[in-house]
Amino acid sequence: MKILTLFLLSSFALFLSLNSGKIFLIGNISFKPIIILLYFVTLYWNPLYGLFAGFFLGFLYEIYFPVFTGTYPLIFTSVVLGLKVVENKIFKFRYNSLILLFCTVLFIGVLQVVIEADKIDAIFYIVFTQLIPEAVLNSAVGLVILYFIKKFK
Amino acid sequence: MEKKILRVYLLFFCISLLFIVIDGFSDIKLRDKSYDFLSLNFRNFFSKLLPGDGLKEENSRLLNKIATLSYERQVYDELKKENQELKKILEFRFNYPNLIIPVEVERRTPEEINLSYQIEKGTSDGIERNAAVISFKGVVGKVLKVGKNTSIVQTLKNYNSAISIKDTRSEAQGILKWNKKFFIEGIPEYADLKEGDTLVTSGKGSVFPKGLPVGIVTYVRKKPNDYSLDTEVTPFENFNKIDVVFIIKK
Repeated sequence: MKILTLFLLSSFALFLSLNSGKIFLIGNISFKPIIILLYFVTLYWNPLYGLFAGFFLGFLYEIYFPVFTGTYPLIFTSVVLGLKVVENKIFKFRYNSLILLFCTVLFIGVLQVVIEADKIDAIFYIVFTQLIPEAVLNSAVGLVILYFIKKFK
Repeated sequence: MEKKILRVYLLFFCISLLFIVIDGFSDIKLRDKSYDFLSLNFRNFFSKLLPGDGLKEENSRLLNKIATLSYERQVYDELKKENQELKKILEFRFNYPNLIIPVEVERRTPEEINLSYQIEKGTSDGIERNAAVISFKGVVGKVLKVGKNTSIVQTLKNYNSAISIKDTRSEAQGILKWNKKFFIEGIPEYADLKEGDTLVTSGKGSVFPKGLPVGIVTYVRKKPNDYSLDTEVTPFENFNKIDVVFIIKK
């Protein structure tokens, strides 16, 4: 049952992620459902599930955003591991813990710019005009999810 | 940290790294091979899931529209052609007020064998035997047989046809006949007939009114051992391609 739930959640996140440009795009700022899923699965459910989800979603994600095969599985699983490492250092049921989600989205955004777009020269400009607003947006979505997690805990 | 998690992470890390190495540093392009197939099916699957993804539907809709417009264009061209034909008929009838309604050629005999037409008009429409039949370009023939609702038109391209003609330039007269080619019979060798001259009906006989265009003289030579000219005439009308003819009331 847990596996099925994870599968359904991952499929939903992937579906939203692949169509985020059509649904949630505000200017250049887009929604990152996969990262949000990995964040909440790792911290609030089971890090092992987070690893599996990150590995397989990474491969599927590469279909749409082709880089060297294996790059995104590596990034996503590493992020999951990083979240697991800092898990005990934060109060994850407090809203200010979402700063970690903010940092995660920002970190992956920077990596994407470096890997996909190869725009290191303009990295600061992109960080301030796109990546930070994107991290804020995704943190806001995380806030709503955390609210429900706390409510049904 | 749990060892299990670390082990799983290391396993995934190694697999991912292996893929990166294979894809980045060897000739085997995983992305180009296996992913092409996977991505195609995957993209189609997700494209169908999202109702707002209108590109395919838009493309399909536009293709349908192109097909419809193309068909409508064909219909429009046909109507335009028909309109031009009708205009032509109207103007033609205006020039010949005693014409009866135009008649479509229903059937025709095989080419080169006494060409005749069957038309779906007869005595009930005011058609009489030996009435002159003309087209836009010139004389076609005469009505040979008349029924109540159908008639047979004998064209000039017939062994039995004979029509009195005259040269518009020299007024030289003769009888136009057909025997595998059109020629003028009974024209004396001294007659002033030249290649390129236009022939019209002379008005002799009771069938054809005077001045209807018939054809052009394309060959004139003196016959050896004879006192007449060997001629060849090309009619204005192509008798094998006529669709509409007009019958002149007597």
